[in-house]
Amino acid sequence: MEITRSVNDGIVELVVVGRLDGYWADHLDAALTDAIREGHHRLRLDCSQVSFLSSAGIGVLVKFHKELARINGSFSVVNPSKPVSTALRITRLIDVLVGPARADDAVAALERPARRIERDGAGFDVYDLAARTPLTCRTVGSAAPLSTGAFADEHCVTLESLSPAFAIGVGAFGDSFADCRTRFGELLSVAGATAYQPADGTNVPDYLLGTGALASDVRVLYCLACDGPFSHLIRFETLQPGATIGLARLLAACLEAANARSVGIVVVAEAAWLVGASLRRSPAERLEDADFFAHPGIRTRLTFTAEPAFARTVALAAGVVTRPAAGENTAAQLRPIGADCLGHLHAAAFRFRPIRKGPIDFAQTVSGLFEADQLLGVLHLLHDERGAAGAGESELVRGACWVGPIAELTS
Amino acid sequence: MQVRHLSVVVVNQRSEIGRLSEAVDRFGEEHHLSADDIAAVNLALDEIVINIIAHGYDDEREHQIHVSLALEGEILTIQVEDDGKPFDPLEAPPPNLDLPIEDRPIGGLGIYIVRSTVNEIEHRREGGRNILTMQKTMAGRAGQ
Repeated sequence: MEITRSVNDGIVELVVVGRLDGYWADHLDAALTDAIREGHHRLRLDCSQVSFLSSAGIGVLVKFHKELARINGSFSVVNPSKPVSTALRITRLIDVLVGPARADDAVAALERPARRIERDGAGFDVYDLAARTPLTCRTVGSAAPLSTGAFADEHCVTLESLSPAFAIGVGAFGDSFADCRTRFGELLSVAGATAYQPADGTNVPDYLLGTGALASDVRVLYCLACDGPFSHLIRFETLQPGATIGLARLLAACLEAANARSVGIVVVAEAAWLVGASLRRSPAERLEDADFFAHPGIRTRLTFTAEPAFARTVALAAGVVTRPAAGENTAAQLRPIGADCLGHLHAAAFRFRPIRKGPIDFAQTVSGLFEADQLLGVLHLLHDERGAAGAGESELVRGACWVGPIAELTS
Repeated sequence: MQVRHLSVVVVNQRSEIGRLSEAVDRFGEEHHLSADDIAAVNLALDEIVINIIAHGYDDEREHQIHVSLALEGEILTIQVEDDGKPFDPLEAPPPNLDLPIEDRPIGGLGIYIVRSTVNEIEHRREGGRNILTMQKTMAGRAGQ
């Protein structure tokens, strides 16, 4: 089988020559996946030279039709050969899959951004949202007992009564401190969906979905929680194929777009890779030595992504970033990100699925990520600037950021 | 009436499908089968053999799948024999083709395609082997 590709008027056309059978179907799947990873959401498959189509090939056609419909893209078969028409007619798919490529509908439906910024090889489309008030951000609990492992029942807080736009911290799912004690790990909660990485050695992330208030069995030792509406949606994408945008540059652009010194931010992005750390051992467990961060014990308590992890995934990241004025005291739990920013972000990594283009709904987009077997891990994002010795930072390709200025970081 | 035979042995690798298809193409051309009939036979065989390769074996070893064609007049008898797990394709539930595409599963069409392509289909299990026998009338040979 041969596949040739061209782009016309924003539509990628793939011409397939040969058999589309149980052997070659995977090759077509890979070619279509590559096109979508490059950001193309309108695909047309010319099947005039396909000599054979089996159910394996039909499965690929159905898969991509459904996947692109989900994100407001389009996929169609054009010029079907006789074997293709026959197989699609038998399976009653010919009227659905074969047709014009809908060149204009997907784009026409998109609302135009309020403005566009281009920086360092990336474009940022900024949509103004209806928010009139800034986000309120508060720290809940304290990370201070972390260093000694002295977390106790009184440090454990349930977020049951809260319905934050997002929260990040160290937490677990359970009905009490005792129940959670061995499992506290990196936690991320966005729009009622909460994911965490149990630090009990299982290395299997867990999640809960809610609609509003956080589920009663989400317990945290400490966290940053932001409430309120976002002021801007920012769609970003690298301008060159194959390029990436570092997290620090993205955050700087979000500060600029929101015209604020501190913002709360949620990012849903197609990630080239992520760089971060996660707890390997619950910080509520008693320490054999005096300091959680002391060598060599730290190696058994924290896992760092010594090299980029979660490559070619979708990341849901949330947190706070601020550009402090000289000499300004900043809230606890913030660390340097880039040249002049501080921040704290957690991320959940999911198996790759393309993200719909244009202005998208916050809660719907987030909940859509949480489907069975899609969550891969949760981590605290790091910015490691030690040159060649460092792990660098997370690199993204395209995505969406919901941003809101923070009036004040409070405890 | 003279019976024309073809016998092909493939191993449980997807890449074998191309070789099987070429053999069926040659058989069809030699015996003046129509292009539509050859395509239908290839379609049924692709579905059955790929299904055996994908789901028939729990081990990583090489297994042989025996395919034979017997053409007698206008009736082509296709037999596929494998040593995989017991599987009777006649027991597979039919897909619901009335569902809108967004509700239709991505797979599950293979056996339906086979049943739509041939006239008769029969499965039996003998000596630890699946033996699937299909018959199809070769429309292009009617009257020969």
